[in-house]
Amino acid sequence: MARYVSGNLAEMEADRLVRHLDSCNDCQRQIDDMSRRADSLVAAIRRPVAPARDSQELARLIAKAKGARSEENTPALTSDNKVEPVALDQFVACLSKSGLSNADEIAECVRELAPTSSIEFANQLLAVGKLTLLQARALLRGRWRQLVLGNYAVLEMLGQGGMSRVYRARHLQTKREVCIKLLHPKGPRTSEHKERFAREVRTIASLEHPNIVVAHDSGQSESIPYLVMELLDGSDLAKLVAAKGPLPPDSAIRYVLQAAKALEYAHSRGVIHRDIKPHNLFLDDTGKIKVLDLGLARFDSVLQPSNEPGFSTMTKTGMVVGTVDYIAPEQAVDARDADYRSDIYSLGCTLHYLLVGRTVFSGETLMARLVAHREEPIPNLAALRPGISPEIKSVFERMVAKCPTNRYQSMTELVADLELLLAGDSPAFDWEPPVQEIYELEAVADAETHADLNALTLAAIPAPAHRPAHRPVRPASKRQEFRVPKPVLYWSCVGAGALACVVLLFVAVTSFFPEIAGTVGLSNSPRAVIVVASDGFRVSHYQAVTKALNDRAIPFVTASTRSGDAKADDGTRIKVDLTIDDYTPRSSDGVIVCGGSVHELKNTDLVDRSLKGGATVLGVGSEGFAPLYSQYHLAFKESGVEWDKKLPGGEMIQAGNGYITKACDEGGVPTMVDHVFGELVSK
Amino acid sequence: MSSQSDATSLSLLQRARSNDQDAWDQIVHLYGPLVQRWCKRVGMREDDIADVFQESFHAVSNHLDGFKPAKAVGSFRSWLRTIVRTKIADHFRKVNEQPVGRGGSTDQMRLANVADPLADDCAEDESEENALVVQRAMELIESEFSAKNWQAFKLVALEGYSAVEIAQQLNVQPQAVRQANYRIRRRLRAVLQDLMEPTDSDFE
Repeated sequence: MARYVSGNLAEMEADRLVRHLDSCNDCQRQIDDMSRRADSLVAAIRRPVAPARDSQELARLIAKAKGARSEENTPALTSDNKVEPVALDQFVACLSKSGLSNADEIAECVRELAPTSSIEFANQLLAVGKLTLLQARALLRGRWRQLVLGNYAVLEMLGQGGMSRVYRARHLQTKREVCIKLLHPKGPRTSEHKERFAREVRTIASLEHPNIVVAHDSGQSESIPYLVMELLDGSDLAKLVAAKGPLPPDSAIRYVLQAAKALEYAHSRGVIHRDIKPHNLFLDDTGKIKVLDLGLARFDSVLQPSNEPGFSTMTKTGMVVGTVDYIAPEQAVDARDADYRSDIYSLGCTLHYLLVGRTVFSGETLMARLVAHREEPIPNLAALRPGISPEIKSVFERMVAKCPTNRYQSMTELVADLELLLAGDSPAFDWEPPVQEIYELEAVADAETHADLNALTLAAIPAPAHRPAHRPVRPASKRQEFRVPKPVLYWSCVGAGALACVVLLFVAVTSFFPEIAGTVGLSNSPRAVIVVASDGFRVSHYQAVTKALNDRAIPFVTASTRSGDAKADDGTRIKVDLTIDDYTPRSSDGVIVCGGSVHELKNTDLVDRSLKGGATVLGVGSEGFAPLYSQYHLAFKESGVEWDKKLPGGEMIQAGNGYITKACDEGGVPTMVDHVFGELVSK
Repeated sequence: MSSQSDATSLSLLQRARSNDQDAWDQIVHLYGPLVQRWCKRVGMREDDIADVFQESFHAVSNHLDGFKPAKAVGSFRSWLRTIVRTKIADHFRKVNEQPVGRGGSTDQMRLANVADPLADDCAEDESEENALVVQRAMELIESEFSAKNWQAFKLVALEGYSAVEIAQQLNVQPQAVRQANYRIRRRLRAVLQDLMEPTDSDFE
């Protein structure tokens, strides 16, 4: 008992003792008695320690000394047999070209150190701290490119994923140390990939949340994009659990709650992580969780467009095998089916890992584990880890329900329950785990999106017995033209790179308008929302817009102030799919406002909300549209921002998180639709 | 239930030796204040302290592989003190050798006066130093535990309340308080292996 009180008892014995304590009041009293007295540890704890007056100085000293170990470990460079080091003069030339030091400095070093070989010089520079090992090795191989990225000197590699490498780097002038993520030099490097990476970079740059890693800057080097982020001290949760074993339930819940809050925010901005796992949750020195790889993950794991055969979630796109352990069933089938609830599933799998120390499903092969997500029953958490309350177990099971509709439907719901758990209250569950829940593909919104499953995935996951007979809105031939939209190219000229950019493609929003998901085709594709007044909208505008959209096979819905029908100025009635108030804008949306009776729309916050949500707003007919957007135009005028005049037939400008155009006339509709939806629709 | 894996049963030193950066960071975190304190005690200036501090930890890092902790409690701390003492002596020697020393004569005098500035501690110093390291260890592990558990532990360890009293105050079961106390003390001992007796015989 004494050893239990003092913390010396081994865990297993402690478990036994705890069981005994349950029924023995006498021992309880003895233990309580002992624990109040001071042993050597407690004596040290109780001894007052004068607070350090120079704690900042100490912190600085300590931070520096922490680095000592890795520097000490730097082995001296020797010539390895595989690669002959470059000659001294070439080494000096490379050093000069790299931008790590200027010519004067290098000349001075050569004079002072008087090296006789490149290896000797490299070791000398290592010793005086002028070069890091990574830099020296690269230079000895005659490589100097990308040792400086923008204003940052690359110091060492911190890690690498499937698509990218992560480096520690230092700003050349300010000396601030940062973390840089660079698209993997060996990864796919088509212009599409780069463009998509760049767009994702802008997405993450637009996210600002205490639990999301901060993006400082981004750029391109040798036409390979990179992202500059804050350098964090701490450990990711995968490493933490690997080093220390499963976490105490309270800590696990606290960490998951912080991640859930970050994702709740990201989801509100239309960003789905799609690669939530313990490795991507970073616990910093202050105990704060930072979600990593946000936005990039979508890029990392997304299925490539169907006209690139051979790409799959698991192979060439570089998704690491480990991710399979956290992937939602619907996402495993087709990454584009991932929606907000897929992140909830992955976070549930993460919670399991934090509490139990291993993944939810284990299987010899990747396939076995993938299938397990779909078919294996959810393990009983309480049986795997003693001390798990029924409440934690319920929350976990609801997070990892096979069918998205049985999960929490939003991060907000999950956050609320996690907070209740931490407060020690029972979440008010109105949810019972479905008996023997079987995952059905039909549960995922649109079976048509599975049309281009590749052979690998098909082999792994048997096709369902039948598929719902959804009529594809988009003809199969059109699907082949699904491409990355071009407007980004224009828009990047307009907006500062760090600002949010409209993400037209691959924002998976399966859950988005469940009532229309079956009819608009690809639920995660760009979509037009035509907005009309409920009475008196210009039929000619509407017809011009629908024709342009139909010609380009862009799915659309019609929104108005009232549900039911809307009446045009010539008496024509059209069906309204949803009311403006029910409309939740996404960055994949092009919101097209038709003229006529627009006063009716003035009282809505349609334009504000759309731009906040990252959508692009296009007005048809200036007489109606102008009042809606005049405030933006005025703001632009005051701030001296120029409209992008490069667009033939119209002008577009960044506003909120999205873009807004000047109103166009009926004749300009096709051109502006092309701008809004980009290359996607161009022949 | 194992909330601590084998990693903690290996000492920080063993882990640091196998190039576990986390373990090294923890060592620096734990003992950094001690090193600073020793430097201050001999009246060094901030700039000089910074040099000696870094040199000391460089030396620890360099010689970590060769250091074989004795069975005695505090052997790492003694070793560290030896290193710091050497580095301080080196520093003053360098200052002495400089014809126009930075602060020259006073530093020389200091060296002369403090022949062995870090001669073995008296018991009082040692327990104060222990407290300093224990406090650092508490900072190190606090984030691993919930606020409630931490509070429960502090009420037991610092304030000496009983499990039942604390349980009432925090609205938890008394056994939860005992368990929090056990876990946190166990974790602390794991971090503080060098300073603590392997088994505590205070009650036996």
